[in-house]
Formats: sequence, C-alpha cells, structure tokens
Amino acid sequence: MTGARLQPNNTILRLAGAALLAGALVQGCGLGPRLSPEDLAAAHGRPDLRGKPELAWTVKLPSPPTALLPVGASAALITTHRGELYRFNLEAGVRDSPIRQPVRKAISAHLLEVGGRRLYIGSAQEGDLRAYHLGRGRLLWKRDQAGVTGPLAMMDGLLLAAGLSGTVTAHDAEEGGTVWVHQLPGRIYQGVWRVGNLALVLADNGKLYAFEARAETSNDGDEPADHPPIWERELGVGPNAVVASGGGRLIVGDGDGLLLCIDPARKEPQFRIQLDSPIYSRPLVTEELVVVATAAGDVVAIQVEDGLPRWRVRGNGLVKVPLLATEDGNNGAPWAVLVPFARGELLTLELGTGRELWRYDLKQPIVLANLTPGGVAVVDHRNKLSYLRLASPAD
Amino acid sequence: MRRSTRRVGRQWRGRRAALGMVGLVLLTATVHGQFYFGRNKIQYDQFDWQVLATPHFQLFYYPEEEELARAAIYWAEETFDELEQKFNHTLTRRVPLVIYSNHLHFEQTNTAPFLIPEGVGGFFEFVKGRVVLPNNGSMFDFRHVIRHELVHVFMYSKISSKAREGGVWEQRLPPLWFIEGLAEWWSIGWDTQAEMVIRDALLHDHLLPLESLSLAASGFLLYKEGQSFLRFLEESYGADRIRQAMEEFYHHETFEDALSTVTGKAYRDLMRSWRMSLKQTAAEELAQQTLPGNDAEQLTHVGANVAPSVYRDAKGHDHLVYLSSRDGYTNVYRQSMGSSEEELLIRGERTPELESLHFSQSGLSVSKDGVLAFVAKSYERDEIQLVDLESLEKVGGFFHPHLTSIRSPSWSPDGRQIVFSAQDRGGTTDLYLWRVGDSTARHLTRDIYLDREPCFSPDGKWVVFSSDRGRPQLDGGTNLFLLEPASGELRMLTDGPYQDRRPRWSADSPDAVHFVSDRSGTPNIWKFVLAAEGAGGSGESTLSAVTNLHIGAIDILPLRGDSLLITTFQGYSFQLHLASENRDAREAGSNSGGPAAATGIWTPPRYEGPSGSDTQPYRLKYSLDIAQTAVAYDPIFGFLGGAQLGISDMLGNRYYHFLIANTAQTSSQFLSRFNVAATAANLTHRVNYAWGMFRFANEYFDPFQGFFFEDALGLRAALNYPLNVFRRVELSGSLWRSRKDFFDQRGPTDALLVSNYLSFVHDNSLWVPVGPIDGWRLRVTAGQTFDFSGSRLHNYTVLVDNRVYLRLARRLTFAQRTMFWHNDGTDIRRFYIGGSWGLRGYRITEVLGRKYVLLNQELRFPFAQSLLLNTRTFSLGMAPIRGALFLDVGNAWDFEFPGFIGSYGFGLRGLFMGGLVLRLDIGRKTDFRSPDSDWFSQFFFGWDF
Repeated sequence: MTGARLQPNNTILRLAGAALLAGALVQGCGLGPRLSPEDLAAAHGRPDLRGKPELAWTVKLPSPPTALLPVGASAALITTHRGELYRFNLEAGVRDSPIRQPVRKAISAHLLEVGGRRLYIGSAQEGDLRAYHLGRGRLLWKRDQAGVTGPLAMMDGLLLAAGLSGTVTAHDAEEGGTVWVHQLPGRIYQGVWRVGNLALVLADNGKLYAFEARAETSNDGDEPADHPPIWERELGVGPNAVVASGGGRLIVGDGDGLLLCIDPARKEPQFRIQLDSPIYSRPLVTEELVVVATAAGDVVAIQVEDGLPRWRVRGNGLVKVPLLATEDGNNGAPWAVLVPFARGELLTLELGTGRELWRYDLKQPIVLANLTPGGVAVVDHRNKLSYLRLASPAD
Repeated sequence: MRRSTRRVGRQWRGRRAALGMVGLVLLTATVHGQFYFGRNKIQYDQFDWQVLATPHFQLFYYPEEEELARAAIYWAEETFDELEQKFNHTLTRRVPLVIYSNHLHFEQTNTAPFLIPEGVGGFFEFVKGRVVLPNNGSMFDFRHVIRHELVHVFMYSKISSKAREGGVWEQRLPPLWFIEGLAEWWSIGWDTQAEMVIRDALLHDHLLPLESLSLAASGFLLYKEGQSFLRFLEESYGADRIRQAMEEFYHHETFEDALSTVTGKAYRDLMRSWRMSLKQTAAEELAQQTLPGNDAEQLTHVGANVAPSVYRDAKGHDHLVYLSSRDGYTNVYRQSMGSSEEELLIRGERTPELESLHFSQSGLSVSKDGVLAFVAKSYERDEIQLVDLESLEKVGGFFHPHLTSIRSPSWSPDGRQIVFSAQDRGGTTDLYLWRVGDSTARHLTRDIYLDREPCFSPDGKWVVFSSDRGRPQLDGGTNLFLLEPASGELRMLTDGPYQDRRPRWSADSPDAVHFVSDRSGTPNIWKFVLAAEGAGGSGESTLSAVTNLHIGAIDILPLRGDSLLITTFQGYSFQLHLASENRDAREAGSNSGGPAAATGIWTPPRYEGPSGSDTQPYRLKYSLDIAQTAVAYDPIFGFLGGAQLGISDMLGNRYYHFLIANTAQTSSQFLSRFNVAATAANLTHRVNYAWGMFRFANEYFDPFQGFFFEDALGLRAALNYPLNVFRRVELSGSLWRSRKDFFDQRGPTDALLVSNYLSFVHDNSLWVPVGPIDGWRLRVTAGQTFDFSGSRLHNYTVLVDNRVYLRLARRLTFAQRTMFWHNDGTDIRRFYIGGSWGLRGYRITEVLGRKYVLLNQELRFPFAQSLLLNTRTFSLGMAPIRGALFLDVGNAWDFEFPGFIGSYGFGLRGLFMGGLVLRLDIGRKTDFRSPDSDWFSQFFFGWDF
C-alpha cells in the first residue's frame, strides 16, 4: 500500500506557531479578567432572602473552583484549583470571558476591589502573587510569595499577604514592591484579616499576631524591612482554626469547637465559648451577633456584647462553607444568614431571631456558595454551578 | 434464606485476576496447570437478599438478620454523622453496606474474589466502594467493625477528593499503618488489647518503625502501632494535624512528608518522640508489675499455643492438650505434665473434615473418661468432635443445621453433657446444652446478648459464662454470670465496663472462679470467690487479682493444688505457663453475688428511618469493575488496539467481561481482523459456571508450522464443581470453526472443532510470601479436540502436575514437583519447559516438545529477614528472602525420549515492595554425564512452584 504523506504547508505552520505563541502569552500572565464599565459601576448588593428560591439553571464548570466572587449586577469571577480565572454570567448561565490561566496550581488567595478596579490573586503552590487591572484586564505586577493563603488585606495602600511558610508581607498595592516582611514561627492557613487599623494574623501555633500596616522603619537598600507585630497573644486554638472579622472584632473557631471573640483594642478575647463539635466554616459577624455553624449542624447566634447565645437552630449535618449574610435594602445592615450545609441543604434564617425563612435541598454536597444581588450561586462536588434566583417577597 | 447444596468459586487473588481467570478459562485452549491451583470458596447457602436504602447507605441483608440489619444501619448512620465531623468531609454517594449474620456466611461472599480467613472481621473495597462485614456474635464488635470500615471510606473519599480538586488523578493512598491505625483510633480509641500488644512490642523489642516492610507484613501489629502513633499524634498535636496531613498529602511526595509539614517536626523526630513516650509510660508501669517468666515455668516455646486442657489418663498420669499453630497449620498437641516432650495428636486444616480448628476462638475440653471435645469446621458447618485420647479415634460428634458457629465446648463433670456457645443463622450467640448421643441440643439462653465461654461447676449444678448482658450500654464490657441449667436461674457475678472472659472453676475449690479480666489495664488473671454456701449462695463474695502481669494473659486453667495454667501473650505470640497462685492476691472488692437482672439493660438500636427509606428485594444492577484500552505498535504487525470492559453486580455474583481488539494493518482488513469476545460468569451457586462467545482473527507464528493467519469463531463454556475447600473438578468445552491460512504453499484449511477438558485439582498447601512450604498440590487434566469437518481426532492432551512439600524442620522444606505432559494428534501442541519456572538454566524455547517429563527438587530455607536499600530520595526493600538448593531433571520430545538433562544450584527469592516475588537462580546445567563448566544465572519473577 502506498500511504499518502502529509505535505506541511508553511503558512499553516506559521499560523499555528503564532497561535500557539499567542495562546501561551494569553494563558501565561499578560491578560486577566476584564470587567465592563457597567460591572465596575454597579453597586455591590446582596439579595433579599425573603423571596423563595427557584432553580434558574445548573451548569457544569470546566474545573473545580476555589472562589466565586460576585461582580456587577449579575456576574461572578471564578477562580479554580487549576489556576484558572474567568467571568461567568449568572443571569444567562454562561461563561462570558475566555478562561485565563495565570498560574498552573490552585488560586488560594484573592482580594477583589471593584472600586479600585483591582483584583489580587495568589497561589500557595505556585508561590505567586499578582495584581490585575479589572478595567483593562491587564497584569499590573506579580511577586513571588511562597504559600500564600486565605484572604489578602488592603490597608493604607498596602496589600498584606501571609502564607504557609509563616511569612507576612506588605506590598505596595500599585507597584507591587515589597515594603516590609516578617517571619512568624508557624504556618498561616487563614491569611490576613483587617480589623480597624490592625492587620491580624493567626498562626498554627495558636498565636494571634497584630501588625500595623505602615512601617516606621525604612528600607535598608533593596531588602524589605523586617516589621515585627506590635503585639501577640496566645489564643490556645487548634492549628486549622477559621477566622472571620466584623464589627471591629475578630472571631476565631477551631476544630475542637472553641469559639473566641477578640477585641483588638483590648488585645484579649472578649469571650471564649466551648461548643460541642468542631467549627470548620467561617462564622458570620455583625455589630451585635456572631453566628457560627458547627460540624454537627448546629447554627448558634451569640451576642457579641456578652457572649450569651441568643438562638440555636438544629440543621442537617456538616457545615464547612462560610456562612453568608444578606443585607437590608434600606440601611445595608445584615439581617439574614444563609447556611450552606455540606450535604446539600441551604437554610436561611432571620438574623435577629433565628426564624427559618426558607430551605432548599440541592441534594448534592456543596463545596462553594456565594450571594449575588439576584440570588444564590452554589457549586456542588461534581463542579456543577447552580443558580437559585430569589423571587421578590411580594411574589 | 434457602439452603442449597450448590456451591461456587475458587480462590482468586484479586478482582482483576478473577476477571482474567474467567476470561482465561473460556478463551484459551491451552491448560497452564500452574495457574490453576488454589483452594475453593464454596457458596453453600443461597440468600434472599434485601436492600434497605437510607440517606447515606444501601444496606444489603437477608431476612434472617433483620434485627441485625436494623441495628447495623442505625450504627452506620450514627457513625456517618460522627465521621463527617471528624474528617470535615461528607460523602457524595450512598455507601453499599453488605452484612452477614455470621462468619461462615461471610466466607461465602463474592464481593471479594479471594478466600476470607477467619481473622478478617470485614473489609472495604475500593472498586465499588463496598463495606462488607459479618457479625461474630458480639454487637459491640459488630459496631466497631462498621465504624472501622467507615473510617476507611471517609479517608479514601477525603484524600481522593482533595487530590481531584488539585487536578491530581493518580490514585495514591497513605501508608498502610496510617490507613489501619486511623481506622482503629477513630473507631474505638485506645483499648486494653492495644495496650497489651504495644507493651509486648516494647518489652520484646519488636516495636517496628512504621515505615518498615516487616511491619506491613506483620498484620495485627501494624494496626496497633498505627493506632498508638496516631493516639500520640492527636494527643500531642491535636486531631487537626491528622486532618491536615490528609488534606495536604496529594501535593507531597510521601505521607511522612505531609506529616512533617503539618507538625513542623521531622518525621524521624516524631517517631523518636512517640517511642520515647511509650517507653517512659511502660517503664513506670513495669516497676509495679511482673512478667510471666518471673515466677512461672514456661511449658511451650515455639509458635502460638492456646486453649489448654488437662486430663488424667487411666494410669494416673496428667497430660496437657492444647492447640498450636507452630507449623502454620493448627494442630492439637499433647504433653505430659512435668515433661517437655510433645506429641502431635490431631492434624488440622489439611482435610475438609478438620478444615479449621478455630485457633484462639474456641477451646478444648477433656472429659473424666479421656474424651477430647473440640470444634472443627467440617465442610459447611461447625461440628463438636469427640476423640478418645487413648485410641485417637473419633467417638462422636454434634452439629445442627441451624447453628453456624460453635465455640468453647465444656464437659460436665459426669462426662455426659457438653455445654457450648453457638451462633444461630440470625447471628445471635447463646448457650446450649448437648446430652452426648442426642441429635439436638437444648437452649440454655435465648436472647440477643452475647453468651460465651461456658464452664460447668465441679458439682455439675451451675454453669459460669461470660456475657455482655446486664450492661447499661453497649460499652464492650462483658461480665460473668451463673446459670443453673435445671431451673434456668441466672445470677450476675461481676460488674463493670471490663472484659471478664474465660471463667474456669477451680479444680479443688467449688467456690472459686478464675477468669481473665482487663480491670487493671491489661488482661490479667482474677479470682472470684463465692460466698460459703456455694454457687447459689447469697452471702458476701470476694474479687481479687491473681496476677499483675505487665503485658497480659488470655486464658486461665486452675489445676489441682495452687497451680495455674496461664496462657500469656508475649513476644507477639501465645505461650503456656505453669504458675503457683499468689496467696497474697490483692483483694479488689466484694460483690453481693445477688440475683442478676433476668434481662439486660441495653437493647440493640433499631433504625426506623424517614419515610423515604425502604426495603426492596435485591435486583441485579451492574456497575463497572474494569475498563481499559490499549494501543500498541508492533514493527511486524503494525498498530494493535484493544479495549476490555468488566462489569458485575453489587454482590459480585455475576460478571460480564467484554474484549474488543483489532489488528488490521490496512483499512480493508478492518473487519477481517476484528477480535471480539464476550464472557458471562455466574458465581451464585456452588457450581461456578461461565459461557461466552469469541471471534479471534490474528496472525500467529509456530516454530513448526511457521506464520499463519487463523480466524476462529466459536462458543466456550466452563464450570467448576468444588468437592470441598481443597478439591474441585473443572470441566470446559468449546465449539469453534477454525480457518487457517498458511503463508507458505500449503493453502487454507478449514475445521469445525469441538474440545473438552476435564481436570481434578487438589490444594491444601501452606504458603509463605514467596511460595508454598507445606501440603500437597495436584492437578490432573485430560482433554481432546475433535475435528468434525474431517471426522478425525484433532489432538488430545494429558497433564499431571503433582507437588509435594515436606517439612523437614520447622523452617526447612523439601519441595518436589513431578510434571508430565502428553499431546498427540493431527494438530499437535507443544510445550516449553525451559526457564526459571521449569528446567532452570535453559532458555524457554530451548526445550520443547509434545511430551515432557519434569522433576524439580528444592530444599527451601529462610535466608534473610529483609534487604533494604535506602537512599536520600527513596528506599527499596525486599522481605523476607528465602534460599533454595535445587536439582531439576527432565526433558521434552516429540517422538523419541532423548534422555534426561537437568541443572542444579542455589537460588534466592524475595518479596519485593510487599507484592512481587523476585527470583535469582545460579547453577550449572548437566546432561548427567558431565556438568557444564559454566555457571548460569537466571533472574525472573514469580512464586516458587
């Protein structure tokens, strides 16, 4: 048999090569997500949870997401375990931007500043921290940052990051230059939390460290200055404690069920409560209440002022996804809490009383959830994104 | 459940192997004898399977165990809630949970392809995610195994999902010590049995490094060391570190690296700290305690020895009988008191009548007339067998079709009755009384509580036994009770959340009961002295500790005078000791000896789920076992592509296997070179059968026929009938049309062929990791192929493969294999006998013919415990390593026997990385006139013959 031989066409090869090169550049680092002027101008809002949920659509995502960040009126930026980043239209249920892949490993830290048109992302495994301009969709800067995890914090024009290596770093948010750095003696799983004018970092040795953002010491040459914490406290919590902030306080819950409310002004726990099962999901903090869900499925509201429980609701099994709060349309204060149970149930409770507003069973384990102005976006273990549109309370 | 005399199965070494074997039986015409040994898994019973679906489980059970099933699913759901919290993880699918009411039923399961030993309490398999377990009679143990297996399920699911999130699709598991240690630690916590094992390992210096290969091969010690280390880790660093290590495992090279990362300590430092903490605790304890050798005479030294019983013969000499597994099989031995000479009385585990003697689970008892009572698994049931110790003849026996597991027979003082415990088909363990000679036994207890280890009082009026009745909750505690068989009156002797076991009346004192209890932290000997009025008295009784052993004792037999026969745990084995009772025994308390509650306090929970949960009859629903494709390029044959798919039902009773491949080199050959085969196998019944169809169209090469193309289209069927666990008959037949097209000038041939093969297989061999060391294996196969189109005999084959293993000493085996093959006909088949598995020193193709004789002789012995190669980045190990001196004799021929050739030399075999046996043979070839001057060496893999 005489086989036909493929005769390569030089033009085709050149075009293919150019396409590959361009693809590599796009995938690599040059471009980031780009938001429309409407997205950037839209007021960030939360839905009114009084309306009953209705499943609008379910879509399979291309890879497991790590975060779902609402932007504009009906969209979300999605970051993934594969280092991908794209915009998703939640009204239509379609991805409406190319999939960028700035890093190859999981995006483990993020900070979305819609007002400042900035998106900051970090990858612990890649050891990489980046800033994007959301309007132009361009990379502004990138820095090496080993093991960066959890929330990033913005203070006084500095981007604060911390990570598994125990390093806390402050970068110039505009230029990316490292302003100061400090090495803590433990791993940091929960990033940096801003409470008032302090940046708080919880290390896995159970200690809380408080930093001021601006360094008083100047840089010595090219080396960033060492910037030690202004105080530290032993909290006695487990290594993988969850952290939340709000109302000028920091809330810490750990795998043994210990819940602490810390007032940074007093540098001491305001209250310390032992719950009867582990706390894996990030609590919700308002001026008045701390709402915490335990691994056993109990949802407990505790008064910030005195640490006394106000209400307790029994739910269905493990909660590991952070609790979500909705805001009152009139004064912007949180008034309802949404609890995403790992087994697939969403439970909405009135914040003040614990009265159940509605519950919806997705019937699939939930790995991620967030609120958007029009509803609730939920990702299950199959990487399926479901959007629950909330009807108007009058309907 | 219907009783059936049908049976199924054979010992297969893995699911894929099972599928492969089914395919092999059907799809190949050549009989490769050495792959067809193995014992039989026999399905004696047919079960009417039901399925109960709950929010997180699918429970498979049969109606006789309805009560057990409701308790099982309650505990499973309860454990699910607990583990969801411990793991910070939830499961995405319902877990299939298959339960059996007793171990004998469990041993028939097809959910695992291999034979299930008595020591296996349950398993979780990864392919279908099934948890399969039996009830051994103890509800506490049953709940423990459910919890243990569900820890495996959660751990596997958590690690897999974390890896998938990170885009890692490689299936990696933590080391076995972590898998089993975590399952123990998070299911039962710390217990006195674990304490005993770890103290023993420390004291006898065999606490192995967790990563050691020897530990992986040690079985139970691996569980307990893992449990101990994780206890240390959780108590020192918190349970969060264990969770974190599982979460971070997928992006670390090893699990040990992940542990180091999350604890911030080097793995070696963690190990050192753990061992140091154990030693410190043990040293403090040991200062207050004793060891068996301190004030006792050790009667046995080799192997594991349990279940002692003492009797006096007609001449007035006292003898000791006991069970020992010193040579790998469990046997009954006799030893005269005061002498160290042992006599092997009953050889167990080699014949179907004595398939198992339930080592460490049952006991021996000798009547005043010198008749030994013991329990043996005999075919499909347990039977009490009575053997006269003078004549060594079997003089009686008892079994009942409704009693599955029988344990601990104990003679009455008058030698007319035997009290024993037994499990019925629903899984409940009660006491029974058998009047010797009767065909039935009388229930002494009849309830859900675990009643076991009964013993008659010296006056024959009372029976003392251990039971979990009376506990306020199912906490694992078992206490002692008295029962008067005549009236049914029941009294409680001991109390507390302790394991009070193996009660024995003192030989001289009718008021004293010795027993084993873990009241002091590890199992020790205790004594309960009843009130002066005797067993039925209601006065003040006393409880005192007789021994204060650091490690522990598992059995006690009070002898005349103040002598005690104690079975101790030491050196990871069991030994018998003769000791004098400590007259200064510490009194630990008193007991009223008053009437016990007639019924217990705890009751088994019953799952009454939401309305959604329902029971349905089991329906066949198939799911994937294996699916794989392969594409290869061959310089001669071009591209070769193929795929195979295997599916089976949830209970593993029915399999389908599909094979598709194409060897076309041009598009025009696509249809003519299509290979396809489909096989169905049914393992439900005692007769295991399979059938299938095939079309193979390939080019082949035969040294005598040259290159040819053959297109074979036909049907195949096969069945196995196990006569007992050691023997079976295999039958296979096929009908196919064969078209051969030779590449020379011969032209095409066309034949319609029918072939039949009949085999008899025997295997009671005993194995070490690299091969058999004791027993006997035999395979005899005969078959013919007839060509209908030519009305002639195509060919016929006779194969005899006999392998005998003689234990010259405990660790020294002489192995002999005799193989004979004869094939004749118009289309003969030749066999190759060179190579590492045949005639050593010769190339595989060097010695071939349609007839052969092969005699292999080997002297097998231990060579080294292990060989370990450690580098900075990896370590490779081989353990154990055994040596062999060999002499091979044989030859193969077509027409005239050419005379014997052979080889002799020395070989080493080692188990590499816990799974693959590597073999190296060095020797000289010989024609028995003059040996070769050159030495040969052959390196290969595979077990010893």
